[in-house]
Amino acid sequence: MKNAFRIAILSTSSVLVATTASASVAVPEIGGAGSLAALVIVGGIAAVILERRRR
Amino acid sequence: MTELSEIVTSLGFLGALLALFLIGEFRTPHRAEQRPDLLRMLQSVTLFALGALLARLVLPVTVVAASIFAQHSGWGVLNLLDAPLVLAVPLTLLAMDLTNFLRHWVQHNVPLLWRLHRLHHSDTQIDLATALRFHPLEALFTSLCHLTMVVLLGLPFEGVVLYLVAEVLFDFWEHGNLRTPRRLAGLQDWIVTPPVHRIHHEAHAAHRSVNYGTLFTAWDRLAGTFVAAVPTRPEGRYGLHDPTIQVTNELGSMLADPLRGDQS
Repeated sequence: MKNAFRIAILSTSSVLVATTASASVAVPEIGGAGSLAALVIVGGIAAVILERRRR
Repeated sequence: MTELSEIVTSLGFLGALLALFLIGEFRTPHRAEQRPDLLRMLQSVTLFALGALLARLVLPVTVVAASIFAQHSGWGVLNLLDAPLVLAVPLTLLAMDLTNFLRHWVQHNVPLLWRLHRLHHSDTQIDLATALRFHPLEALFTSLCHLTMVVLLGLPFEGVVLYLVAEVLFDFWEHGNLRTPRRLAGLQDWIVTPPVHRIHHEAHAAHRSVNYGTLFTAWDRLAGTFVAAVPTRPEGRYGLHDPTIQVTNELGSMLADPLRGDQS
């Protein structure tokens, strides 16, 4: 259980770090919205998968 | 600061802070039986990002960009008065916190806005996930309120950034499942502490009508809506606990919640 929560911390942080890193090299005009959209997609898909597993 | 760098900096700051507070929730939890939950966190981060994206797409500028623009254009009361920074920054903190207090009060008392805000209150646990659990339309409304005040009052960039950082810190601290040392109890005379904000989240409808403040308790004291936290007071249940309200803890249901009508 403890490991699962450690993974939770790491994965949440990783998603944020990866998103911000990719946004920083993206086209400035779309980078801001792009980084947020990436976060929505990654977070949303992961949440829906986990919701289905817990049903 | 470009818009991209502002968003990237904000996300990086939020991510680092979130990780730090999560470690705190593991190491010194307020309720030991309640542990951080990956699903709840994923749902809240998604809601938060969706809200920020919506604000980015709908509003012409970000709050920080608006403050820079107002400064350069001489817009707003403080810019017209050419107020020195040493005065303008504290005034910004007070003005933005008062705006937050009024916005929060309105969200609880105007049925249409309560529909957007009740998702935040429907959480039956209070932790870091709650701190980000806001409907995207509510996030848009909050940004619009900030934006309006920044432009009307000509709030300086330095004060706006300071307030936004403090707002996030307080949001995480007030909602986080972190033990609050007893020696900090006296802080509630001035600032909103986690025990004070937890009263606002209790399921009893009367408790939702108190402690609206974000940073300072002064607004609640002036409005007569302040209830002090007493260490011996038993902690109530959280959430809405109303059988007519059917907010399930699934992302789709959370997003559709405002369409469900005027439920108290």
